[in-house]
Amino acid sequence: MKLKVFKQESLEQLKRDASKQIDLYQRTTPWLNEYFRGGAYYCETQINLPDNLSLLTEGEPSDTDKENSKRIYEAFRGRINPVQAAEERLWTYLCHETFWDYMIWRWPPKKEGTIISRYFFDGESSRALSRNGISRLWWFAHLTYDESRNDPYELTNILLYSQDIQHNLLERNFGRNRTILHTVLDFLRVHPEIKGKEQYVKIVKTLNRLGGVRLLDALGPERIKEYIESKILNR
Amino acid sequence: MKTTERFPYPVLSAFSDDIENSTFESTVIYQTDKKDYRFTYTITLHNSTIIQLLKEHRAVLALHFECGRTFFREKYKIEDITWSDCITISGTIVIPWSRICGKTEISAFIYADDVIENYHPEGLHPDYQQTTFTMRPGEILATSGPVILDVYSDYEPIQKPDSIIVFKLDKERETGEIHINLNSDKIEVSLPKNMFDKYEALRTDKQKEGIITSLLGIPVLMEGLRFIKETVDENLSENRRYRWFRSLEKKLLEMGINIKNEENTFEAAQRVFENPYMRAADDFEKMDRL
Repeated sequence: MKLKVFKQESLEQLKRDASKQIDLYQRTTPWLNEYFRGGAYYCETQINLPDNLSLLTEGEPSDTDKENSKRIYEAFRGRINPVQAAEERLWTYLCHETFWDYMIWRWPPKKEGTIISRYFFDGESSRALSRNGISRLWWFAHLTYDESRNDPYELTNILLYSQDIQHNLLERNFGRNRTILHTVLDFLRVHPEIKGKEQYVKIVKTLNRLGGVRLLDALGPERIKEYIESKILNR
Repeated sequence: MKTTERFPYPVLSAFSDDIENSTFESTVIYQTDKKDYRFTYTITLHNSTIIQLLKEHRAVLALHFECGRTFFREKYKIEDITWSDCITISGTIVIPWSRICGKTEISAFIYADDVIENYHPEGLHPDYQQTTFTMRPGEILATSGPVILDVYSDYEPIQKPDSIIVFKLDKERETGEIHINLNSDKIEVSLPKNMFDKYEALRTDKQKEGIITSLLGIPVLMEGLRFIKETVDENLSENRRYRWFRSLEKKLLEMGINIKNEENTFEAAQRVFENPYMRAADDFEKMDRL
C-alpha cells in the first residue's frame, strides 16, 4: 500500500477541532472521510508499505511496544529518513486511519490531552515524537537499532523493558546522543538487577550531574560506563 | 546546547570573567545545496595556554550541533588549525538535509581530552591568585554560543501571491466574512460559498488578476506582515515552521525591509507585491478599452 500523509491544512483543521470532536474519537472505525465530507484531505506518497502491515492489539498494551516497534521500523526501514520521520502529517494520518484499531486500544482517546499528545504532535520538540502513538514506535527502534549486535533490536528491547526507561532517557537532551543512549542501555543490559523507576531516575540524575560540568558528548562510551558504574554500583 | 554558567573551574566564555584579556567567539551561518546544509563557521581564540593545549592535542576544539526536532546531537572535531598567538579558524561542516530540520543549536567548545594537571590559564582572574586546577577529560576550557539557526531546505521564492496564499471554500458557511488562518504552510483565506464562486470566476480571468491581488491579496499579506512584525524572538522558531512565514521573511530580507521598523504594513505589502495598485489601475484601463 502507498503511504499517505495529511495535507497540511487538513491536519491543522483536524487538530483545531480535536477538542470539539471527542465523540468521533470514541468510534471503533476510522471516520476521516465523513469528517472531511469526501474532500481531498491527504496526499499519496511514492513510499510503499507492506500490505500486510499490522500491529499487535492483544495482551498488556505496554508489553506490545517491543514487537510493534520492530514491525513499524522494518516496514519503514530505508524508506524514510529522520526529517521525514519528524513530519506530523505522516504519523497523524497513520494514527487516525491506518492504525486506528491499534490506537484506540493502546491509547484510549478519553481525554483531550491524550488525543493531542498521542494522536497528534504536542509541540515541536523530540518529546512530541516519543509521545505520538505511532511515531514513538519508529523512533524507539531507530534510536536504538544497532547492526553490530547479533540482535540489532537488543537495545530496543532494553529501552522498552519499562516505560520508565524510555521516558527517563528519551525526554532528556542527552538521550539524543546515540553514544550516550546506547551506553546507558548497554549498562542496563549487563546489569539486569538495576531496575525500577528509582534506579532509572538515579542514572539520569547521575548523568545530569556529570553533564553539568563536563561535555558528555566528548566522553567515549568507556568513560561514561565507568562513571555510571562508579556511581550506581558504588565501584 | 545550553551549559551551566557556574562551573567549579575557570571557563573562557562571554558569560564569565574567569579568564581576562582573552577571547573565544564563534559565528555560524548556513546555506543549502541540493542535498546538504553547509554550515560555515568562524572561530576566534585568543589565549596562549589554551592554544598550547590544543597544539599538544590535550584539548579538543569542537562544534556541537543539536536539533531538538530530529533527536540529532553530534559534535564535530575541528582539527585543521593554523597556529599563531591569536587563531581564527574558518571552515564548513556538511550535514545532510535528511538529518536536521528547524531549530538547531550550535555551540563551540574547547574541552580537555586528557587529564590536565596544574591548569592555570593565561589571564586567570586575580581572585584565583595562584590556584591551579586539575582538568579531567570532557571538562570545558572554553565555550561560545549557542548560535540558534532555523534550518529548512525548502525555501520557496515568492513569485506571486498564490505562492504563499491559498483561497479556499468554507463549506460551513453560505455567506459572511472572509476568514484568515496564519497557522499553516500557506496563509489560508476561507471564503463563504457565495463569495467563493464569484472569486473563482474572477480569478481565472487573466485580465482581472491585478485587481484581485489588490482587493484580496494586499489585506491578507498585511495580516501576514503584522504577524511577523509581532512575533517575539522566543516564538520565531515556532512560527518559522510555516512555509509562508519563511518565504516572506526571506523576501523582506532580500528587499532590505526590516518589518519591525516599519510604521505600517500597508506600504510594505505594496512593495512585496510590487506596486499592485498600479497594476490594478492598468487592468481597469484595459477593460475600459474593450
